[in-house]
Amino acid sequence: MPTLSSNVSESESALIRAIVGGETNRFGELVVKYQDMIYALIRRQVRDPGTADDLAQETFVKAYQNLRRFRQECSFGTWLTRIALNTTNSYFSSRRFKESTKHVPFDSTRHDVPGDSSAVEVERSFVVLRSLIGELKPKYRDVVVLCSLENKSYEEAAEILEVPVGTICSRMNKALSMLRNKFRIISARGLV
Amino acid sequence: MKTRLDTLRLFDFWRGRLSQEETREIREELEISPELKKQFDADSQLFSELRGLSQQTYPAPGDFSQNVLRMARKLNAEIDEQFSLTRVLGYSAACSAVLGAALFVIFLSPEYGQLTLGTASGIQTIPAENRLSPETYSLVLQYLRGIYGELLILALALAGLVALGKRRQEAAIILCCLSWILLFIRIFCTL
Repeated sequence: MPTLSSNVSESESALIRAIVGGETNRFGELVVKYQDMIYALIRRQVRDPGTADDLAQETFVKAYQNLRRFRQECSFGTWLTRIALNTTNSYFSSRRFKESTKHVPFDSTRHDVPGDSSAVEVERSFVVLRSLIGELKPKYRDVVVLCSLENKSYEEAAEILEVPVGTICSRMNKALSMLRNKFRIISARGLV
Repeated sequence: MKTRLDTLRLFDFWRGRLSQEETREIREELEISPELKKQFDADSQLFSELRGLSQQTYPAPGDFSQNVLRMARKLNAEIDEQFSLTRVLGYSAACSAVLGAALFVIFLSPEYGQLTLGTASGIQTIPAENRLSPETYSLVLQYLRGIYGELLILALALAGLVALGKRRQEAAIILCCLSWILLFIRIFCTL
């Protein structure tokens, strides 16, 4: 899986220049390189694999549309991660997401994953956590996703979100406190 | 431990991201404070859920890159189509503006008096059944024949170009068509 180095590598930079210059078919090379990273980042937040697929595709299409505006001041992976976070945040604030969770209480979400394999059992255990993360404000959700789900360092998260490291730490602390409080309530109701 | 980063420090302690010194400090705190220990145990469940989710692997679906490329190609085609339409509209609005401006120059020229004389005789040849009411028709002609006609054509064509620049194609189409309609009326009905 590609890492988020702070600079664009020479070969990647040349590839991006070639795509912008008209070799649009070569965009597939970037997609193949980053697809697992972006899909996983989104899938860890979104319960439905189909929705995650749609959002990940949307992320790449947005990147494709705006590739001319990418100034290569950060790595392509960093830029793409920003787009993925924005795309997912837009989804969480959309009517589509609100409608999908409106009438689904936590106790029923525990049983809404079809099938009975072990992987499905594991997925069921994350339904509540995903819902709690989805309820956070975007600025808190972003740091939780990057620093705990994607295991980025606070410095890497600061670069992706373009805020100081101190801001990342305070947001992460507050986000964890909010998650903890909600998690305790859910646990007390025996829903986890 | 009573800093504003309490929860974060516990989380980093739990996942082994603190320095040896900080780790030792927190261990000592946990040993002497049963309340903190209880809180830490309760939080550990959340921490372990977070770690569990972070360790899940989710490879992209097999046809993912093909789907993205298909969408990108579709987007390219739409952009090309938009570009062609924009180009046609641009030329059209520009031509209309140039013709409007040319008429404007003619209006200002000394020979314009002769042209209007020709117009006046031309009106008489239009059959009565094809005309609007004489008053309305002559009023419309008066305006279109005068400097307002050219200015209106010019303004519409330029507004069309501005709308194009702002990527408001529907507005551009309407403005461009209007300028051409007025231009045709101006040329064929009043000259």
